[in-house]
Amino acid sequence: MFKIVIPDSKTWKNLMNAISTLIEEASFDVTPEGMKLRAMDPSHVAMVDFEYPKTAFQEYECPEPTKLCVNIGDMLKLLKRVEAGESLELSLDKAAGRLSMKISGKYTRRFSLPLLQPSTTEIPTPKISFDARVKLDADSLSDAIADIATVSEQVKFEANPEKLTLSGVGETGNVTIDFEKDSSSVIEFQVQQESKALYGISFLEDMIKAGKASSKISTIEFSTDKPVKIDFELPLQGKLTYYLAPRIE
Amino acid sequence: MSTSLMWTEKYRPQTVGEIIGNDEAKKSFISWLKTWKPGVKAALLYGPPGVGKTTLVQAAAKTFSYDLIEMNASDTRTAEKIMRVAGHAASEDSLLTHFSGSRGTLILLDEVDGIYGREDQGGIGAILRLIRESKVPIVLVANDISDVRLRDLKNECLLIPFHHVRPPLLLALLKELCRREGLEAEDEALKILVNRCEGDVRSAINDLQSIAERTKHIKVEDVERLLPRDKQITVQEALKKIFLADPPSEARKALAEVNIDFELLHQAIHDNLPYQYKDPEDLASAYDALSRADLYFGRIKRTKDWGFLSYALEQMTVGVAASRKKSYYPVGYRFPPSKLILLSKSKAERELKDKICSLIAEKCHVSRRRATMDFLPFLKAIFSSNLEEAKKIASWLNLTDEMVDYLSSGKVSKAKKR
Repeated sequence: MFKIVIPDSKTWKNLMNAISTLIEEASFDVTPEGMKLRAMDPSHVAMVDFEYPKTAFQEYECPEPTKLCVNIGDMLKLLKRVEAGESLELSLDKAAGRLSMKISGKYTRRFSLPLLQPSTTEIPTPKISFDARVKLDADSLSDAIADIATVSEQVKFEANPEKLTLSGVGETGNVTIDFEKDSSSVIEFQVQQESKALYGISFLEDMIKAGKASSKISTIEFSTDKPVKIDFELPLQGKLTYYLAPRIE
Repeated sequence: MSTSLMWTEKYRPQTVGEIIGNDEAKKSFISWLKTWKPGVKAALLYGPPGVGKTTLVQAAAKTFSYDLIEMNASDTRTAEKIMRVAGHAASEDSLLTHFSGSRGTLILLDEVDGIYGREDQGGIGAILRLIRESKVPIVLVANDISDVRLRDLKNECLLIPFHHVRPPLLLALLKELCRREGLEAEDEALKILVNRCEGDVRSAINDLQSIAERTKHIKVEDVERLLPRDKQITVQEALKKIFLADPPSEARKALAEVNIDFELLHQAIHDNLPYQYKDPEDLASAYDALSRADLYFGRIKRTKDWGFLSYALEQMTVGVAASRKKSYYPVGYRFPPSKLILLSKSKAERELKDKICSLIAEKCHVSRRRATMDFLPFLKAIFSSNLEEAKKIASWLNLTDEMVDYLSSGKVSKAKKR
């Protein structure tokens, strides 16, 4: 049994939305320390790694670890009905096999959602190191990707010790965006080795659009022809991280 | 030790070597997989259910450490859905290649023969595009690939046929399972079980497990007590059942056992009747019954009242069978119907003709129908005799080279456009 209270349900909605860009069914690990989810999209091209520690919740009771698997699209549909400032309480109705969501604002509303059979496949902890690491303003990153999406279906990431360049080549034109090391949208800049890699834009666009709703700061890490890791900083050691595999050339 | 796990899962072959039978198919699949590079055809594994098609792909993926992306084509019926998952998998790396050292992605589209139908707008087209553009190997799996709608797909694939698994192999497997599960079985009982399953390994194992749940000593009676299996018969077998039903009322049963669109079956009966009923009187009265069935189908279409269906079916099965006064031997039945083959063969030509007539219709301010009837024959005559004039007309109408070729030769040029 567990009970979780989130003070502002909008935060939760944004996080769930970020997870739903990749998967339909979300299987959360609820432990005494907090909530966790790691999942790959069905094509195994992208992955989301989500952690929300118990300190980030207003109330958190979980005496024993539980798996919580729900259809995330259905959960979002309910969350869409929630207004800013309303608080959200999640609890488990084990007998009925349902997740209850209690929303308290001017009055109290209760929803419940059927629980699904959690999947048993464990996803390995990614152990890869990156040659380039750039921390930058999430809005600027999102704009850059949106610019490139106007002409191309793939984005080239290039980094050298001076700048990070994102570019796209398409039939209608080319777009190049430079983030110089000391430009105002760049917060931290570490490039150990010149790196370049190509990624499909559709996942990238969805991830960044959804991620920036939860965080203003994003960190890009990649190496030549290796996956890119995009991390969105959350308060109180929360974690929202995406991985995306490169295109096959 | 009773576990609820299905034996078909518990004993699912983990390596290619553990799969019984179909050695030829295994060999050609493995050599295809080993030599695959972008531009090589996809593989299409086809054959009866339960003989190890999907299992082979899964075992091979494990053996050669591919990250297998499995999609069931009949679950995901639209082009959009297939492209969303498989499209990513075919052009982007698998994360597992980087995280845990898999060799790359292998895409498996299962039950592709279940993909067509009304809901599936463009499903086959989507798969074709996927195959042509994929940077990773793609395997398709199907039971029956005789349908004309799969023709284009077959051209893009290496066809690997699977057959029923031979009884001795299946018998040896069942004996091995009995040993591992600590069962005692009479030889005769297992032999009956094997025969019943007609080379379908999956149903043999399932049957064995269902008996084992009741008894640890399997005797002939235990096997005989199993319910008769739902049979699936081919269209050819169904036609034989209908034409030669005795008594005629038996003909109705063929409908339940064959998996085919009723109107398509009607067409097939229509096509095969003259080869079967040689006596003119039999033939005439059978066609009478068939025409009444056709009337009912027409009424269903007009009124959307499916209540007429049972009358249509009765006429085309029992009605046909009851028309038979003489006795006949079965013949070789033709399927798919010649009408469908013709339509599919002439598709390119019809499309081209339509395009030409649209151009004429626009320029000459006539309907397309009139263009087809009154203009096209003359154009053909001009294009095949008076090249000078033909050139002028072609440029006035904005005809493409392909259209000019067609008008002058009456044939569609073979060059396939992508």
